[in-house]
Amino acid sequence: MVGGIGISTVVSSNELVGVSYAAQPPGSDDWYLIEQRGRIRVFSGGMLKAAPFFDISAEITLDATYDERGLHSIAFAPDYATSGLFYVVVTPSTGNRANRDLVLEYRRSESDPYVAETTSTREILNLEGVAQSGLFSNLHNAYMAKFGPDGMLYVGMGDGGGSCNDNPGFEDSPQDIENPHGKLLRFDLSAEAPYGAADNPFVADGDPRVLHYGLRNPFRFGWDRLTGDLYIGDVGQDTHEELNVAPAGAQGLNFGWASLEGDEGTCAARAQRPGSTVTAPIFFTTHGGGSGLAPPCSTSAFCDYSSIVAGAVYRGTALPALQGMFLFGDWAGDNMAALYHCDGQTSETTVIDLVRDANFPDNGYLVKVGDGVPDIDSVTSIIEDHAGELHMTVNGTTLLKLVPAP
Amino acid sequence: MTRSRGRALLLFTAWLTGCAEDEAPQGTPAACREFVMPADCTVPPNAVLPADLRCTGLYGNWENREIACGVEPYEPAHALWSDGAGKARYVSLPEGAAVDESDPDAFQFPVGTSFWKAFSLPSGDLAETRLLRKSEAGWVYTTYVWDEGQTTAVQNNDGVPDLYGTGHTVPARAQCKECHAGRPDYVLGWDAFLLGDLAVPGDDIERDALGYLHVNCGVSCHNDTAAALGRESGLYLHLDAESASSALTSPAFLTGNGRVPSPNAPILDLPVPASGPFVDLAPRDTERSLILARMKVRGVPAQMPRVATNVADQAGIASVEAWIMAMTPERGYP
Repeated sequence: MVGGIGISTVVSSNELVGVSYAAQPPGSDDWYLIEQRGRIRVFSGGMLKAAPFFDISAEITLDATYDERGLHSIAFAPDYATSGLFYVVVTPSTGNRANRDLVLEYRRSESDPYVAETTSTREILNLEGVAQSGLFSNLHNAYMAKFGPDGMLYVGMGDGGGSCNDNPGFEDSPQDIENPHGKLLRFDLSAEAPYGAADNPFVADGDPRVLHYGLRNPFRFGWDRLTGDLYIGDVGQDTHEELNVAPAGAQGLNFGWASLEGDEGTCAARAQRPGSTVTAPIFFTTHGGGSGLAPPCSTSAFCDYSSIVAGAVYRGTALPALQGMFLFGDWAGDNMAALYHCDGQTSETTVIDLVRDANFPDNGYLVKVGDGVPDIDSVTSIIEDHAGELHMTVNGTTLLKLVPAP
Repeated sequence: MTRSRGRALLLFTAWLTGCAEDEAPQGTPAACREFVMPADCTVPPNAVLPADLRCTGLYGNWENREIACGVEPYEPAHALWSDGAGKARYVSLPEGAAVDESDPDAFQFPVGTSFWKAFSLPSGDLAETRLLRKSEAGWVYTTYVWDEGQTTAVQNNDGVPDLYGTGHTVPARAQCKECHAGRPDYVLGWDAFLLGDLAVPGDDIERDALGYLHVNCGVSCHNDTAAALGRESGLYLHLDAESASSALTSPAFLTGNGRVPSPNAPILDLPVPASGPFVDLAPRDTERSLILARMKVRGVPAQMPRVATNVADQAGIASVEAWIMAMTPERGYP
C-alpha cells in the first residue's frame, strides 16, 4: 500500500494556458513550462518570468473544440549550460509548415539566458502531416523529445492518425520500418542528417532513425534512471491503453499496433511485420467497449482512461513507499497508478486516486499539501526533477510536486 | 438549524402522513429490535461495507424483514423516477448526532449516517437495496442485489442491465458518483424542499413541475456545484432557498427560458420542432422545449435522466408540459 501521497503546488497561474509538459535544464532548478499555444514560460526563483523564453505562437492557432497540434515539448542538450542548445517538438497549424511534425534545434540567446534566439539553428525532423486541418485529421503527431541515458535524442512519433491508422498516406506505417510514423525514433545529433544513430536497428534496411515500432501514439515515455529500462505509454484507440517496456539496450521491438491493441485485434485489416515477434505490453487498461482479457470495464479502476500518460520510475528519496515503482496516469482518468517491473516480471497495479475514494481503503490517494493546490481535471505529464522527485503538469495551468502526505 | 435522530424524523414523517407528532409514523413497527451484527459477516477485499445486506444494520429481524430500532422510513415530497419501481427509503443517524441544516441548500450529515433505498419490482419482490453511509473518510456506497428467492441480498458493484429479465437496471457503483457528486454532501433525496422545510414555489402546476425537475435533474447534475455534471451546460434545474419565493425566479425558469442549448447537446436523435429551433424552455411551446423532448426519449444519447432508466416517466412529462403551457403573460411569464 502506498497510502496518501501529498501534492504541493510548484507554480499555478491563470497566465499559463495549455501547459502540457515541463522540463528543467541540466544543473538548473528552473522549470520551463510548455504551452500548447506555442510559448515556453520559465518559472525561476519562485517567480514566473513575464516574457516567454520561446515563442512560436505565430504558427499556431488551435481549434477551440479539440486540437492535438501545437508546441509539445522541449529537450535540453546535455551540455546546455555551455552550448545553449535545446530542441522543441511542434506541429504548426498555420503557415507553410502547417500540420508538419517538426523537431527543431534552437539556441538560447547570448544576451539573456531566459530568452531564446528566434531562428532555428537546425531542423532535426520534418515530416509531412495530414494536409487538411480539422478536428480528427491532425492526430498522433510527434509529442515528446527527451535525451536518453546514452546521450541520444529520442522522439515519440505518432502513426499519423485515422481510425486503425487509415489516414491516406499513413496506412500501415507503424509496421513499416521504412516509415518513421508509429515509432520511437533515436537521433545522434553529431551524425549527418537525417541523424539516425549508427547503431539503430534498421540502418541497413529501413529508416535509420527508427528504434522501436508498432506504436500508435507514444505520447509520453521515460527511463528508469537506475536500470535504463525504457517505459512507453501508447495511447490506444477503441479498447486499450498500453504501457510498454523496452529493457535497457533493447532495439527493434515491435509493440504490435495497428494489428494489436492491448491483447485485442482491434484492426482486422492490419498485419504484423512479416517475421516479427510482438512484445506485449506489461500493462493495459480496457476502455468501455473493450472485450479483451482485462477485467470488464465496470470492475476496472481504469475504465475511464482514454489517453495514458506514462510517467517515471520513482528514484527519489522523499517518498520511500514509492521507491522503484513506475507511476502513470491518464489525461481523463480519475486515478493514477503504480507498479513494479523488474527482470520481465510485472507486479499487480496499485491504484492512486486523484481524490481519495472512501470505498477503496487500500487504494493510494493524493492529498493536497499547502495552499493553492487545485482539483486535478487532467494530467498531461509526470516528470522527474534532477533529484528523481516526481512532478506533474495538470489542468493546463499548474505544475505540482509529489511530496510526503501530512 | 439541525435535524437530530428521532424527533425531526418523526416530525417529517408526520408532515407527510398527516399524523400527529405523538402517533407512530407510518411504516415504523410499534416495537423494534436493535440490530445485532451477525457473527458471519464479512467485508470484501479493499472495501468498507459488508458483503451482505443483513450485516448493514437495516433490519433488526432479518427473517421477518423488520426494520431495526433507530432506522426510520421516510418519503420525500417529490421522487426520482426509477422506471416505476417501488421504493422504500430508510435513514439512520448516529445516536445523539444531528444533520447540520444551517445552509438550507447544503445539508451536512454526521459521520455514521446511513441511507437505504429498497427497490421493488411490480411483483412486489425486492430487486436491490442501495446503501449510502458516511464514514470518517467520506461517503461509501454500494447496492445489494436480492436473489430471486428473496432470501439473500449481496453486494454488487458491477451493475445488472436487466435483473432476472424484469427490465430493472441495477447501476454499477462507478455510476453512483455521476449523480451524487453534484451535491456538496452527496445525499440527493433529503433536503429542505423534499422534507418540506421550504415550500416549492408557485401554484400546484408550478410546484409539481419544479419539484419534479429539482429531484430528477437539479439536485444531481443541473446545478452550479463545482462537481455537478451539468454545471457547464448553464441550465440549472434545482431549487434553492434564495429563489424559493416564486417560480419565475427559480433557476429552472431563469436559466432555461429561451436559452439556446449548448452546441454539444446531443439532440440529433430528437424530432425537429416545426415551430422553430430548440430552446431549453419555450413558454407555451412544448415542441420546442428541449427539456421536455429529452425527457420523452430513451436509448439515445439525448435521454434524460442519463442513467438507470429505460422508460420515460409519463407523469413527469405531463407535469412539465402543464407548466410550459401555463407560462402565460397573465401569470407573469413573458
